[in-house]
Amino acid sequence: MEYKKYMKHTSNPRTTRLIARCTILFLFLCAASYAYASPAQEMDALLATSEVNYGQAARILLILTDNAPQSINEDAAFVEVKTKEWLPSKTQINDSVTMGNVSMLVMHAFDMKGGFMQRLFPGPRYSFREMSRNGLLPSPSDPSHKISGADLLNILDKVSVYTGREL
Amino acid sequence: MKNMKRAIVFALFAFSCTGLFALDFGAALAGHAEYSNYTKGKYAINLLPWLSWVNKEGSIDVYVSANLGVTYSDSRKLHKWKFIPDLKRTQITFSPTGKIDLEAGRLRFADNAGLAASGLFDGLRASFIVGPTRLKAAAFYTGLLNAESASITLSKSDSKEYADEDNYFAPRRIMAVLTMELPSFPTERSSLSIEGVGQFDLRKKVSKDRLNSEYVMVNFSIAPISGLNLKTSFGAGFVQYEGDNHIGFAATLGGNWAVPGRLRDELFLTGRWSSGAINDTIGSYLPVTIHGQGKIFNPNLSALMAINGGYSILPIKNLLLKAEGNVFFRTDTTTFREAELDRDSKSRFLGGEFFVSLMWAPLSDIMANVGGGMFFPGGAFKNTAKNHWLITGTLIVSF
Repeated sequence: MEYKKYMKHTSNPRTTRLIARCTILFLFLCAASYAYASPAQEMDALLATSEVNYGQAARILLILTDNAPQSINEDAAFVEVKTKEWLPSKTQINDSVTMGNVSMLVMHAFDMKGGFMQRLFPGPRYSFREMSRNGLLPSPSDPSHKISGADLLNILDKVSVYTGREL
Repeated sequence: MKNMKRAIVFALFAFSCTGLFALDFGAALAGHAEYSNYTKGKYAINLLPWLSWVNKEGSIDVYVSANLGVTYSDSRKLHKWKFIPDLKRTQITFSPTGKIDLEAGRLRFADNAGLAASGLFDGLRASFIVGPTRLKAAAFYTGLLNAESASITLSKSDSKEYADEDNYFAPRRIMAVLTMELPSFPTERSSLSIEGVGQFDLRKKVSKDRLNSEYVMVNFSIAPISGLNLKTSFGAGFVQYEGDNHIGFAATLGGNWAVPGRLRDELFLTGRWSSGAINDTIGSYLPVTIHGQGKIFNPNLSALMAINGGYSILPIKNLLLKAEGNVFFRTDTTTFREAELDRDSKSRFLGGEFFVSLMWAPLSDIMANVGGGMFFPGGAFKNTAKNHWLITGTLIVSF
């Protein structure tokens, strides 16, 4: 509650971004501490991950957007997002996340509507276009690029600022 | 020949190995219609396909785009649709480090002062960051550009070719550019750039209609307070044409102010001045590409002073309302040309215009724009010159 109050009174975008970033990290640590024995280790592992898999991405997204309890594991999170059709049907839990697919996942998780084509064909192609157009992805990037743990946290940070949704 | 074939096959193989098949692509479809009491109807439908590819490291960026458009104009002698294919921004960018960018292809270029050249040009450009300075060097060729898109009308031959509807290519010229930018000079909220542009006519030496010109420009921008941006620039252009050498000057001063508050509105005001013919040494300023200064009456920034001011507001999300006005003066009474000018008039006042437009983007990939306005001729025009009105409409869908 105190955090929300402070966010409303701050108008400096840099401060807002910093707070959002810290909040994401803090919440992730909290979530990780609930599910895993060593949250610091998991955080370090994520930041050191050069290619995040769909299980990891699904779990983080669902927890941070209040779509799942913090106790959810990667397998259950992946099943959840596949059931909701937030990812293309061909994706496998251990596959490396691509920039196109993470765009699709993030847009669904944050309930971002996107453009006409995105509504008509809600796949990775137009999700990537929408996210890229709004400067929410690292630049330059390509839909086929694999993303790292640091990339994922950076994207979530930008999206939380863009949508104004407190994480 | 055999070696060439091998090279092409190898290049295709190398590209497929790097993952070029994973490229992103799309297109925009744009429809434009305008009607005025002078030129009557003009209509255009353009398909703008594009594709892009970035390597995994982000050090190589490839972008290809084109315009496949058909246009129709009531003012043309032949009343039929005209197909104009045009290669748009197409380039490969190589960034080996964060401080070096090397670009090749059809590149977008505009000088920082906005006084010499702008548009797409074929060539090479290198940018280096050295300490607090960004240095850029570029070399361009104009002979493969579309004449209408390039808008190069420096000499009489250029103007003739530009007006010829059967002529596709722009005049053959080479252009060299050197730029030095100081992004935080002398304070964090200001920047300075110094730029040199030289363009050289590649017409045969026997042709008397060869025009070379070189430009030196200084541009200074400052944001003294949040939301207020001020910009001033000054340029000198040296022209060599038919044995006549002269120098012309141009300057701009202006700014925009994002009014604090919830309305997201902005005020803007800019004055642009270019010298006219004064004596044998100081002549009319001549930019490389046409720098149109108006919405309805659209004179080039040559022997002209133009003041542009206006206001824009976002009354509701995704809807931008913009109202602006322009006032024009000629800076000499001999070199400024316009069809309906009164040759005996000594008046420098060319007239004024207003234009109001409404841009609506209900979704991120759909945009509609409608506008309308009127130009009122001033004392430099013949008494018979009528007020000139224009209405326009544009719809763009990206997919």
